[in-house]
Amino acid sequence: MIYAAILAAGLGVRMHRQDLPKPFLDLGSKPVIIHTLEQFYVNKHVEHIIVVTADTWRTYAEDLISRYGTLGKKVTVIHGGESKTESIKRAVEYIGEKYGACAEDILVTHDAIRPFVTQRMIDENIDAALRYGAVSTVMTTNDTIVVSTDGIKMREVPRKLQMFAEQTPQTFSLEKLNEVFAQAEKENVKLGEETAIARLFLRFGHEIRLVRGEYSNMKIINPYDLEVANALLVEREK
Amino acid sequence: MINRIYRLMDTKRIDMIQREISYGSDLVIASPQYVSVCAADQRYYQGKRKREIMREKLPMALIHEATAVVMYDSGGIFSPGTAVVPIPLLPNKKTSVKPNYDEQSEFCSSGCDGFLRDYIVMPRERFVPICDDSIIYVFSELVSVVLNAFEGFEQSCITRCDSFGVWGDGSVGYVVCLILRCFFPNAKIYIFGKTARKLHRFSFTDAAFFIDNIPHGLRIDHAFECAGGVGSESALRQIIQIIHPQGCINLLGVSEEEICVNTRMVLDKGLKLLGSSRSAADDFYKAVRLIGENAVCQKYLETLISEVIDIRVESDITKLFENDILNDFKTIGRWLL
Repeated sequence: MIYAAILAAGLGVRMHRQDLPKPFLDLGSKPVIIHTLEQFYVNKHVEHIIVVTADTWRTYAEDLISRYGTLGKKVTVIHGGESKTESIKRAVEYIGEKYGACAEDILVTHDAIRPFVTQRMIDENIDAALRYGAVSTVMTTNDTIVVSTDGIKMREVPRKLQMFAEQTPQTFSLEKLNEVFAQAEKENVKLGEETAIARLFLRFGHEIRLVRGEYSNMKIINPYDLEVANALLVEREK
Repeated sequence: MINRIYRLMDTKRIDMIQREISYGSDLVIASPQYVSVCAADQRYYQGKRKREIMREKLPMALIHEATAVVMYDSGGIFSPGTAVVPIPLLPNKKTSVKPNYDEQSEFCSSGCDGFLRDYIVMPRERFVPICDDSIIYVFSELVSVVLNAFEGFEQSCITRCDSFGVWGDGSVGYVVCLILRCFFPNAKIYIFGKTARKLHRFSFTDAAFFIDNIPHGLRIDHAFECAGGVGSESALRQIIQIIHPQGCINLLGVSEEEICVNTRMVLDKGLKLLGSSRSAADDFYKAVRLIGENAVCQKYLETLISEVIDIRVESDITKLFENDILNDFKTIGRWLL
């Protein structure tokens, strides 16, 4: 079975609008998260969608999802954890408790604040995850990335050709996810502080395949991003 | 829902734009599967339309020949995964003429965005279900246009149908000859063109003639002009010369410029000049049925494919149009975006 976890537990600190988390802000005529969900509603592979929100916003998310409809897809809202990694763990635990994980099960994880995801990205993620077990979506960077440990002095300038910006979806077999979370527990890794699940996979010796993202698959993090995203959707006068 | 539309912004420049779309009741969401380039698309892409037309119509997504796969149908009539042919005509329903001729009707890739988009969202009646996802159905639009022309011809023809002449050795000429062969198996079908390698492909016709070497004394009952462009005028001159009195001249070729017609001979011979353009939903249903039921027709249509290009990134769309300029017949894009 193919599951999708839409990660919406962030509280929008960078959006300076702490009264409403970022995924629930309007983009065009609907909340950002609804646009994101719609891309998963119409995907031919995804069978069950789990929306992971902050506990406080769980019922609000349920109301929104039910108001806009789910195009017949099964959607469940659960509460997430301190970090994105912990939220993914919650989704994995939910699936395990509710359905029991099979070896062929796949979990597509995606940021709720990336509404411009495409079917190609979702399909290629699923296809690669079925073959390799772990996949991440990346884009080449236009900027040169530099490394600094203190934010004052530059320590390293990695070769641009080897640098990619990570986006989502990130997709994993549930079997591998369970394995990685079990190893993390064994080694007392604090998942609440781990923002990148890919780092855990690499730490425990798992390979992660790459799928091509898009520059347009932007993350709506701050007011500027929301302004840009809204502007992108507007038809201009000739 | 956010859709990605690939619009022609200016000559040879296609950009992706994102737009919010609604998907209310009775609307079907489908994803393109195969798209095929038509000469009309090329005229826009290469900037061969008049400047004022380009200014008026662009930016606009091209392509009106396609197959698609249903992703969602609010009415549950089409299940997800159903293969369909999208109908590019948005008909004016309050019309007394056939909707493809009504001035209020709209047409994808002419008056509004064509099928170069991630989601084709249209009313259910604008999708024709097909029995499988074979690439051949991408020619449904082209076949439907020819069937629409045949309908007009059958309504007007009053003389015998023993011989036909088809001018234009391109894709439209090919499909006209093929459909003529299906409908009039015993008639003589002659193709007239100017490129030897293209004429060789018309193996199911009775004879192929170069337009500068038409045998003296050759006569035909009816003709189809599929040359279009600057070739329309000389094609019509030849047709009027060799067609039998009271024959029908079916005009399918599009000419950007106005052309001269020898009306004296048209009057002398009592000829009928029949214009036809585009097609309506019933023509699509007939086209899909004809392709599905006629295995021989399918085989011949398959040979009309010059190249299939996988469209995985936006630049592949440009490649589709650029390669099509070099190809003799149809260039198809397999939509993987």
